[in-house]
Amino acid sequence: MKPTICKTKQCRAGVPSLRCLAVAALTLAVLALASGAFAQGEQDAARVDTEEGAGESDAGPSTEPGAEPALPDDAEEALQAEAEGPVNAAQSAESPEELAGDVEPFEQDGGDDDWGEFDEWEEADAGGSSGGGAWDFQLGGFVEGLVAPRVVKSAASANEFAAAEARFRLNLDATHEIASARFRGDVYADGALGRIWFDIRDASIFVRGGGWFSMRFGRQVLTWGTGDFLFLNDLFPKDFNSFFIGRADEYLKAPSNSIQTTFMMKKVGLDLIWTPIFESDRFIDGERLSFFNPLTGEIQGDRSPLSPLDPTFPEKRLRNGTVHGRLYGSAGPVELAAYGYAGFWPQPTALSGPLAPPPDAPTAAFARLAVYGASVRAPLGGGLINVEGAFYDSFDDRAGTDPTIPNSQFRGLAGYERELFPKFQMGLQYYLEYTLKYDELTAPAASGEEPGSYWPEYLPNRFRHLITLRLTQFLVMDKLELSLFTFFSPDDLDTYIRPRVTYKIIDPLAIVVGANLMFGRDDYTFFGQLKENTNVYVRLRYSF
Amino acid sequence: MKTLSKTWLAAVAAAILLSTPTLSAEAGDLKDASEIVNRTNNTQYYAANDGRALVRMKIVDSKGRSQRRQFAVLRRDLKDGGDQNYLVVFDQPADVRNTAFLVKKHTNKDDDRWLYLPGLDLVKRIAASDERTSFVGTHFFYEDISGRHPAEDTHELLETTDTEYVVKSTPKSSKGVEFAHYTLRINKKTFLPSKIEYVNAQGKVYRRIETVSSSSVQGHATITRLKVSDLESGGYTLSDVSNVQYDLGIPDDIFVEGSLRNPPQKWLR
Repeated sequence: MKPTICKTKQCRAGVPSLRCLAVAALTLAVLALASGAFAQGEQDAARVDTEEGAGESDAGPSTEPGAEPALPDDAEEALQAEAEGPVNAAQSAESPEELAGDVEPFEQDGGDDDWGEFDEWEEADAGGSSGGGAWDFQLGGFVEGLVAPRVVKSAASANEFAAAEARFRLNLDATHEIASARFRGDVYADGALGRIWFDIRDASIFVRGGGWFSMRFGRQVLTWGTGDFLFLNDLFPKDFNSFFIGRADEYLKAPSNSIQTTFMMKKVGLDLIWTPIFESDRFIDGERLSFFNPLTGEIQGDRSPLSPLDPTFPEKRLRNGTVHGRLYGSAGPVELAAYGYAGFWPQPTALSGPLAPPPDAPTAAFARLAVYGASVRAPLGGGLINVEGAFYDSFDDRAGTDPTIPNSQFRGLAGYERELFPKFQMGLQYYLEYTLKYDELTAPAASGEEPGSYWPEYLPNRFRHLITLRLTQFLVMDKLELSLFTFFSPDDLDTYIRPRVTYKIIDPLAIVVGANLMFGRDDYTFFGQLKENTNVYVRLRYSF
Repeated sequence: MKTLSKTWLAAVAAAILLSTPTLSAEAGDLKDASEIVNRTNNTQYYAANDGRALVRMKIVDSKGRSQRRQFAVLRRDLKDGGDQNYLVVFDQPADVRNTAFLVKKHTNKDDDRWLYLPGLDLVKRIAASDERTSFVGTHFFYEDISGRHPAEDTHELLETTDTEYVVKSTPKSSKGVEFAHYTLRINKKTFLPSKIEYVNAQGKVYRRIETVSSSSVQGHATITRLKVSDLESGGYTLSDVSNVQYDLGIPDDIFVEGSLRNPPQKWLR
């Protein structure tokens, strides 16, 4: 099984030709975007023309070119009467003229023909489906190009690109009053790995049963918890490859095939989610991004024969499914939630067996895990405060003496965010990870016995602290977004900085320029191990 | 189609207004500016007990480039002139389709707001923000959409014409406002504003909101087209409100997190 982006189908082809294909697709995407933007501009211009024409014919003699296209009063009244007629006749005792006549005919300062556009929409809507029992269908998606070259020397990775891909996304929605169906599918030409990927992010059916029960069945992306890029009680699969190479934030979450049921009882909600076949994170495996392998004591990238990391997954048995639960409600403005999880560690942090020479050498593996936690979120001093805690019960090794299984942990989070100035937001988080039975991990092995950990020198501290800072500024009528997200660990002495500039050039077209900057004193810390993957990226998206 | 005429609702929410009997104010001109403004506020933002509307906006910048916004709004009043709940589901632009806002508007403290980001399946609670900044990239401010509380200003009746009251409103505190005062022209019959002009410290009108059309929906005076102009940049936003329906009996329990993830189609269509 392919561990990276593991559950997607892939077609392997000649690597060099595929890279060409990716570049070609990217070029095409850019051209498509450009022509789309151009066409949009033309369309707008054309629309104004026709509207002006229509206005003129209504009004009789044509206005002079360049004159203010003020809509004559009688035309405006006619328009209103038309719009109001049926409603008022049916629903109101008042005559349409009465209200319409009250409206001051204020002076027009241009752009009044713009209203024609709304009337066009109206007609478009009338043609579409609507009303009670019918289904509504919607189609959308985007075309996107992404290039993310590494900008530091990497001994572990030969590939100079963290990402070079052209992506097509299709969104389909069919909505009914009590049920809906949803599809979100990506196909992308991946120049960095020389493959084409098909990745279905959502293919699910939603059913509502009265006001108190609903269910979503199928492939879906799931999220909960109060952290900002820090997940304590959210054990749904993540895609850490996407996170570090400049893909849109949504790709941090990976889909799973699950059944979600929601029960609403007055002010309290209960979500129960069952994923019958365990879905791990799309973890970093050395192929696209390099990481620190404690077994070899080195940063492992695509040059290593050990890449991609190929862990042993739990067998596909009923008992190996995962269950997620959340009970939530609010007391005034204060939101409270309790969480539970039974399944596996989402990353292959365990070993399949004790260390042994090659024929019996262990692989990475997933240990069993249960998580219990709670969160609070409330407004405070013009901002929002959130506190969340989770106990990671690594129940196959509660004693902390088995070196093949990670120890239990307590994880805590406190955060505060508020707007400092208009359109300028700040978010601060403090995160703590406390490893239980730490002395057992680090104690030297008694003769003839296994140690608590095979690599005590690479372990994080008993207390691992992390501070995050988010700064966001919107400018130019929200079209320009400047964003900075920083992780910093004072005891690991490593940091991850995510600066990003997003500009919405015209409605459907957006460009994103950013960087993923990882630094660390040591090679083995959480972010330090990623330092050779430091990259900058450009992403261009055309939505439809 | 069943489009019932159009309202305004500036943007999001405010659409559907209060149950002031629309044309009953004939008896005589009102003299109290605060009463006029309170009635206007109720007419504009609190019609009926609940309502629904489809809002479309066209944003035109100073260079003539335009963008669209389109969303559906559900509103339910907890108390006339007081707290309200709003659910807003975006349809356009394409990149924010299915993004949804849940707003619990409070008149005596900051609103509670949640934003649903469909790609991440993330329900994000949003911190209170400056009310006088752009609403989703339009020339409207959040406050234009949800209403500025009448008690935040002192009101002075400048003039009563045949058809209108002209009221000058001056903020009690200049904190968080960019205007020195604003002038409201209010229709005497409908108690809808026909024009609002914002004046800066230099005495210059720099921002204007105009009612382009209004109609009566189920007996409630309703703005159906509204234009806000930034007179300094030359940009403007047009807002068109359609499919307005009042008193649907929208229950309070749809204004919850679950409705962000899976909007209540029964009430939205």
